[in-house]
Amino acid sequence: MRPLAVLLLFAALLPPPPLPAQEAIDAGIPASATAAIRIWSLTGSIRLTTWARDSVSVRGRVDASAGHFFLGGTREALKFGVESAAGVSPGGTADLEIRVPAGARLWITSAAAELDLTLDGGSATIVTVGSRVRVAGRAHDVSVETLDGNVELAFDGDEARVRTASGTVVVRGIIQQLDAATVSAALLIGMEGKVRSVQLQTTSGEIAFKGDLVPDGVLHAETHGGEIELRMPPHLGARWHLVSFGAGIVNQLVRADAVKAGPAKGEWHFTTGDGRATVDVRTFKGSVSLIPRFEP
Amino acid sequence: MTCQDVDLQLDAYIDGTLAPGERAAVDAHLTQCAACREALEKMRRLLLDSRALPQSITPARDLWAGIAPRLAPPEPARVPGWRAPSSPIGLAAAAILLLALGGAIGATLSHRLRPATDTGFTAARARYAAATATLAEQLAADPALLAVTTRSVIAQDLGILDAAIREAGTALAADPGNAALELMLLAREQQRIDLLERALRAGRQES
Repeated sequence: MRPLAVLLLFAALLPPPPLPAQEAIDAGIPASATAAIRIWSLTGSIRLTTWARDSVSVRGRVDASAGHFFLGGTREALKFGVESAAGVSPGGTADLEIRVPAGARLWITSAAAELDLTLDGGSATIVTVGSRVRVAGRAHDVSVETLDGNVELAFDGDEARVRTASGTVVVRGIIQQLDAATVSAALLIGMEGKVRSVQLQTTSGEIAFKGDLVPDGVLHAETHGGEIELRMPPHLGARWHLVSFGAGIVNQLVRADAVKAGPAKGEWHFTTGDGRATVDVRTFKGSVSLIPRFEP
Repeated sequence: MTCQDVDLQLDAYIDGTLAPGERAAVDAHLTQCAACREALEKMRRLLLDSRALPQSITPARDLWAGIAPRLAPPEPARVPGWRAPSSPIGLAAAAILLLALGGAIGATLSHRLRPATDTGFTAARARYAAATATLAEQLAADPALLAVTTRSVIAQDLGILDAAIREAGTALAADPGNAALELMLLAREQQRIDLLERALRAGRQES
């Protein structure tokens, strides 16, 4: 028998390596409808939903090497999560399924855990290093800060703020005030209704916005190296100010003779309808594409 | 045809989209007007210069087509490996970050040493420069604070921001007082500060 075959046979006869020790979590604690809740978990996953009860429930499992689970606080302010020993890098992961009162105010801190939140009111502030973050449902306000995690917001709400370095940002739903910025990743925004204020900024990413503004609404989009593509209704009443130093404007939205050159090179402006809304778009090297969006 | 008429039509003239009659009228004016000829040349140069800049991204016309792949689930949970970078990759990432931070500090210090004028733009840049240098020094003081992967992300994005600031600065030097360029340059400075602040927060989180 060849040595390799012997080795393979020997390996097949060995028992499987033991799974890392795990802690099963099944915990609950009373909480008011608008409790302030702080959640801490560095790795693994957090799946959070709301319910119409005055308590918090946490289920899941924690690898022993990820740290230990803790839970404490009062009905108004509580915190829980997975804590590793000071200065020790966690070697495992923790997967938590969490239920909180619908109006809870959440603060979630993570390094690389995958975060999936479905809210029904309340607010969430999420700070991570590289987590993939998804927020759905309905929320008063949501704030996400990450370095290289992708962020997807698919909720209806009043306000959202997103900051990433190289994580792509995708937004769906209807968020009345959106402020999103990346350094090198794309901002892809598809609003399903009229919104009040949209601020989009990136250095080398592209920006795509599909949506509509309320009267007096504001859209500001700015990128240094990326392209900007706006798909908006041709009937929108707005003052448009466009800047593209490198690549110019691709205009399919209004008649070409309506577009006037601005005071400086690379600037254009025009007005549509009553001109109440404001659209302000700037790119240094990319082009700006204006594409009509018709309601289905 | 006046100089103002020509100015409004220069873009279309360069793009070759003017009607033959309009083009002939602009040509006739250009033969008689040195100022408009100079404006035409300046604009051509600006367009050539900016087109020569590297395009960091070449997106498809329909940007939405690329959404799904980008939302693919990430690699299995990454455990940040922090503390002193003992591996060659860790040391390399720390070195790259230090170089990037060195660039940020150097650029901002050199800006701080320039004679200040009393314009709002110059004052704003000086404030950004001071804040950037302070943050970069804090981060450079302990590069091992961050995970290897985090250091790489920050170094890469600092490089992108620094390049954008240099390009906008060059364009502004050729077209002083251009308000749009000033706003774009300040936006990049603000983003650099935001990134450094987030890096420091991430470091505290990871440690």
